[in-house]
Amino acid sequence: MEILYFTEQPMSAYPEDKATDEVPIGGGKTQRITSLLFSNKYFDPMEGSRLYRERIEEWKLVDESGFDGIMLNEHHTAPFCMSPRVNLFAAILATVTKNVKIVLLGNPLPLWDNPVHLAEELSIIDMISQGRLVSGFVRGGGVENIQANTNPSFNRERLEEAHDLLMEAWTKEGPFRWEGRHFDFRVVNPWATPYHRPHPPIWIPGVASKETVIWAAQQGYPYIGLNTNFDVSAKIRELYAGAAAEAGITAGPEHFGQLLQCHVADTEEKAEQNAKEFMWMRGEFTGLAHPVWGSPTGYGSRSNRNSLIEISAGRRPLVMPPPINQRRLERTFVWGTPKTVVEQLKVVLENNRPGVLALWGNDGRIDHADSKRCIELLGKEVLPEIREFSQSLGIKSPMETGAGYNRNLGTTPKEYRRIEL
Amino acid sequence: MAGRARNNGPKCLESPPKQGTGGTNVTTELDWAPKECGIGAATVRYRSAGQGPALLYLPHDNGYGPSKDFLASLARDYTVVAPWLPGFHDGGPPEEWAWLKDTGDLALALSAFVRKLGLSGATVLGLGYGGWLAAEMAVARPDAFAKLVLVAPMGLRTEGAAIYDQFLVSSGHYAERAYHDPARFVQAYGEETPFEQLEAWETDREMLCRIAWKPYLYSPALEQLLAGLDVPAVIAHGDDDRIVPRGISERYAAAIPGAKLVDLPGCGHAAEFEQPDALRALLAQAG
Repeated sequence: MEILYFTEQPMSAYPEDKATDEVPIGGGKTQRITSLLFSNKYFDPMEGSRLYRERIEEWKLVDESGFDGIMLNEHHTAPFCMSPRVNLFAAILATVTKNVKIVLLGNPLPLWDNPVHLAEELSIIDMISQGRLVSGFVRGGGVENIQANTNPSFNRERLEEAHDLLMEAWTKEGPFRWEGRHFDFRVVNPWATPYHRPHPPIWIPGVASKETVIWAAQQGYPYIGLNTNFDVSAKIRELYAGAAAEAGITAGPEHFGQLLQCHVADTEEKAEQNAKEFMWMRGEFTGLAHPVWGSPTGYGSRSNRNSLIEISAGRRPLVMPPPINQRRLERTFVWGTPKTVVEQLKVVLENNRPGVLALWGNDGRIDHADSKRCIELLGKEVLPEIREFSQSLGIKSPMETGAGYNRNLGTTPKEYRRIEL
Repeated sequence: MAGRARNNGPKCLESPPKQGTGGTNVTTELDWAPKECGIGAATVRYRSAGQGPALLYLPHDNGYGPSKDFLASLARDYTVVAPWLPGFHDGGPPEEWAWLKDTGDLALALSAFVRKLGLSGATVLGLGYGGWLAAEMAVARPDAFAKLVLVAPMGLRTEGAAIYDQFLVSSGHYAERAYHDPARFVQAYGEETPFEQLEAWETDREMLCRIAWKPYLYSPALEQLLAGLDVPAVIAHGDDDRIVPRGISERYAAAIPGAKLVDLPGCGHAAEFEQPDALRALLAQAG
């Protein structure tokens, strides 16, 4: 099992009492917001500087504490996440860390107008880190698509085509010409190619979108459930296993991962006090938004359309995350001393048997000292026990089995034209 | 318009009227049953009824709404041809129109429809997005229309203001904002808009999103070509239009030789509901 450390990189230093922006959502109702139209006048660069620098120190500590990897992500126009470019932080980690894998979960592929440049950036990160890159891809949330002005109607088509083009650029010799639906390149010939052969491992994170689970299974990429509870995780595994079987793959623990919130402190009281910080955006970890922003026109699955219409008309409440105690019962959030956290994580391992376990250790206004202490305690007292328990359950990681490498290499999808020059 | 023949309605119908397959039956006397007209590999759906010279009615991006009274009143003086915008609600399966990449493509498809029905030389009434389509069709084919009546047309830009971004709000919010008088919105859609209407609006804007997300509802080329028009044109604009800034109508009026700009008092973007008599009067005025 691969054990990762994660934080959303919260920009918690803003005046929450003054920042009470709202937008109308229909039916005479309003919605409090903390993203997209939430003004950046609340951003304080001095505090931003402090927080960025503290986080780098925390990551260096993670690197020395026995974790297998650091998981990074990106979001935009919102204080819940200070990372607007996952590759930027990956490049920093490639130089300031020595041991951990750099796990990008992930680059929002549809937002890239030039996937060939993305292929180059990732190759460079892979080379500088000497093969420590795990290159995950995401669709990008609704807010991400809007702020990038990427047409949400074509989000999935762009994801798939950008991926296919990137794989061609990584795994086949250039130069060639590419004529696709959304991308056209006169010459594809990136000079920098990945350290890994045939390409860096790819993992796909998500919150259970069926199409993405199936697509990941067809490619042979592990799927990482983001804060999904046992029921949802079980459904993901079932869906994935079915699609994988059709593609000739037998799915195992190495094809599944789990992100969950996990905070450790020296005392139960301290852990609980800090755990409440994870609820700083009412527990909505992608910020508070108009429902239309979260799922813009054309972005969502057809099966969810009716409920989205009703939610955006103000006739159905927004689905908010469960309260903190329910999360604890569902084991999507565990907190406590190392001893009690180990017991809770064992339940997660028994139920989900994840080949990748990503621990979201710190969030909200948890300070630098407590963040570091959490990392130390996880490394010294939680990880060894969890590893041993994982081995006793026979859980393999993607790294042990080779999951994460594209199984369709060598074929160019027929909907695009690759032309040799 | 000197030398321009007046069109007296559709010359051919591609398929016999289908009864009871949707659409709005206006009165027992008028037959508004959906009809179909094949163009290329796709099929345009439309309604047609009335008597007199031909009037092409191009609707808003969010469809016709409950406009049966307005359509019926037009049908007293015109042979009204009212297509559902291809790919939009009631305009056929969106997947059939997946090849439309922008509003120019849609205007090409509608031009083919107009030619197929023999409607060249008709008057066109274009509302909002439909106004933009009418302008695109007119600049592409000089003989397309005998007269343009464009109501708060989209398609151009203006200084300091932009077309309201419907993709940041719900479709219901956008529809409501098109009204100067909220009571008229309630009159049209009821205290609670029926779910079927919300669905229709969602379908409409899914198609609009595909073809008009970026740039949002304008064409850099159009303004350059409007100066070449040689057709009587009236640009009307509600004095409380909160969807399309008045500056865009001003630019249309300035760009089209001889065009008149008319303000519609007490009127939002949904002029066909808030000022139907004024629109009829504009149509009646000889060009």
